[in-house]
Amino acid sequence: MRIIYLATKDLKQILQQKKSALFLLIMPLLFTWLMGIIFNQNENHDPRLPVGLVVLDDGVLGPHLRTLLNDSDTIRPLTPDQTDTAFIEEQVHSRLLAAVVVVPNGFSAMALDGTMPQLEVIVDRNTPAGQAADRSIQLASTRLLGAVQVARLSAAAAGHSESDAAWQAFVLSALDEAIQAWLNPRAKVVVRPAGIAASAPKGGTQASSGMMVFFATVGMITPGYILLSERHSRTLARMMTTSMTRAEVIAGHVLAMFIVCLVQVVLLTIFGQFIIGVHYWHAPGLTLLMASALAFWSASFGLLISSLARDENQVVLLVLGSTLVFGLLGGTFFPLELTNQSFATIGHMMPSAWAVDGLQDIVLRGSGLISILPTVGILLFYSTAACGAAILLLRRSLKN
Amino acid sequence: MTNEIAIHIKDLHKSYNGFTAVQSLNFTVRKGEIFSLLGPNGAGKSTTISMLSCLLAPTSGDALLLGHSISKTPRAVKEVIGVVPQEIAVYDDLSARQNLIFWGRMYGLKGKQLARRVDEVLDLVALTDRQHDRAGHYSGGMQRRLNIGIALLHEPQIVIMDEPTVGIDPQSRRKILDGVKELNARGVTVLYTTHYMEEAQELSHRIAIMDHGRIIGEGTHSELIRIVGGLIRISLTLRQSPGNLIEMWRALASVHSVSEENGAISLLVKDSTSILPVVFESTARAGISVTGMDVQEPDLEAVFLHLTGKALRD
Ligand SMILES: Nc1ncnc2c1ncn2[C@@H]1O[C@H](COP(=O)(O)OP(=O)(O)O)[C@@H](O)[C@H]1O
Ligand SMILES: [Mg+2]
Repeated sequence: MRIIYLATKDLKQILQQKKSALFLLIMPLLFTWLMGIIFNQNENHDPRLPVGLVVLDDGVLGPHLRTLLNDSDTIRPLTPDQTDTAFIEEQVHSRLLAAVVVVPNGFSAMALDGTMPQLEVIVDRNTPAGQAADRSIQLASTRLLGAVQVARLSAAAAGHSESDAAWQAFVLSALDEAIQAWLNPRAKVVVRPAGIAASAPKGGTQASSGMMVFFATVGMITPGYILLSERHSRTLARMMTTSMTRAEVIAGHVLAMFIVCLVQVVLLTIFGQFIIGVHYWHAPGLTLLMASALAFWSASFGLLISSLARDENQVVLLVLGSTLVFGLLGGTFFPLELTNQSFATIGHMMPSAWAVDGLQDIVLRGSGLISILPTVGILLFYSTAACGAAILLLRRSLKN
Repeated sequence: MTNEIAIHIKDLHKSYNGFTAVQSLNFTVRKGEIFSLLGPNGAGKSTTISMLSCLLAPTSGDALLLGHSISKTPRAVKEVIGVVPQEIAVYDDLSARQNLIFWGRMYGLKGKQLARRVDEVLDLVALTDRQHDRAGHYSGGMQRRLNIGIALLHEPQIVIMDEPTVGIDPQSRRKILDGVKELNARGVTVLYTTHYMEEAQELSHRIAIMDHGRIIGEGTHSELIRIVGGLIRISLTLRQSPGNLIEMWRALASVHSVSEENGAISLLVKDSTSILPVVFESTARAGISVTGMDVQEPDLEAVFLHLTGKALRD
């Protein structure tokens, strides 16, 4: 009970501080709105690598290849302004294009006749972009020629011979079907290496969840002031002359910080749901669980900062400094899915990365309790570590 | 006052990385007594108080408060004591009433009892009129009174006060000293620390003089005065530096001791009438003018001077 009275006293003091409203609500709402605008402008931008497609063939396979290339997550085909070799090589060399594919004259005819023609690919295989583009081109080419094989085999199976008048029509329609099958597979296997996702979160979701996590720790500035002033005014030590135990005193302060952050996060999810249209509340239980894990992390972080800082300026510096590191590395400003593998790995050393992941898992990927629990567990781990360090530091003020 | 013991300190020591702040402390405070620890800054008073309030673990030794050991049963000790820290440990951004309600809850009070005690304490520390103002807007004296009031909420049998009148106006000090006496009249045992000898003299049944972490003299006021015998203290202020006058006076047979601190000279003498002419003559001969002089009957200041060879106040 005394823990609750202590937390209530802290909350009263936190609410009396004018800065609280700024750090807890005004700034996060403003930043969510701004980040949302920035992300939405990039929404129309196709992030796939540009690949030039030059079709010197007048058969059916050129358009089919374009369709297959366009289906890729990695590359997007476009037609170069000029088709002479020097110009194309220059475009690849200066990296305006990741690669250029040339469909040589007579390609379709040869393929339909049963020989295996080669596509010409101009690419710099020493660059990661070149390698990625090359792999995607090879994949499209294999699929195209595979579809031709399938069409020829089904024509033979249907009893048509190549000299038949109907053969050509049959093969072309079978080819259409085979290509369609690649575009709409019955079952799709998605292999998603860390850091490179098929779909990065869209603007609103990233802005809302990222800023929520970012400001969860920024919001610890005023609660941090309160605990710091308890240390300085020696009221913290005085507390230990009552029969309160050290654990009760720490629990009371952590509880206040936890409540502050939980209320903040819940208000921001309500804003996210109704103003930005991010579906936080389609799974209220899970969202509350993630919000609590995030609030516990923030509270532990706040406890640690206020036991480290020597004065109010240091509270601000330490909170903003570490939150910026967590935020920039940990995917609160831009999705880690858009970064390379080593950045994403480092990013996932930040508790903020897990908090963002957890929220986006619920909102975007419809994850259930079981898939959320490890994320919650990792946040609890970070929280416990921060609390432990804070308690060691606070022993000086809380001698018993 | 009874002969029952309220506080029993047994060979208490505290050192910080080799520096000894308190050593071989032994004394007892009887129930119903006001007992003062008198000593200059750095004597070890606050260190002693911190150990008695179970905030600081002693390096060795123990103390019993109403029979409860500070090292073995600190929680039981905390139940029976109220501690007034040297710092003003209150919440500036809360009113006096909010502060008292909060601290009352921390002491485990609730409901009607809490409300009654808050009113009584506000009355005792004379803050009823200003109870709804923020403590941060109070004068130093009012803050000191609130600081004291908090420690009285749970009606502790022992109240420990660490320099509760430092840095306040005479009127507030008067209120506080009267409050301490009133508290004591209701049967509360008070352990009081101060570096003002007048306070120790006015309040205490018994006094322990502390310096460099040790108790160097202990007893009632008159017992302590007897240490200096019939010695009288002469305080002098000179316009110029005394030069070798001090050595000269020290050599006189009826002068017990001479000390100089920040231009103020104190002489402990057996008989002022025979010494004063000598003092004036020697200063005149040295061409030094006397700007102030005071002759005092034996007091605690003189006792301190006698025991340590230096003045209590700096
Ligand atoms: N935490 C500490 N670390 C080292 N020395 C200390 C510490 N606290 C007090 N001291 C030293 O112990 C001595 C006694 O201090 P204190 O008990 O505060 O004296 P008083 O209250 O009589 O003025 C002083 O010399 C002080 O510098
Ligand atoms: Mg002190």
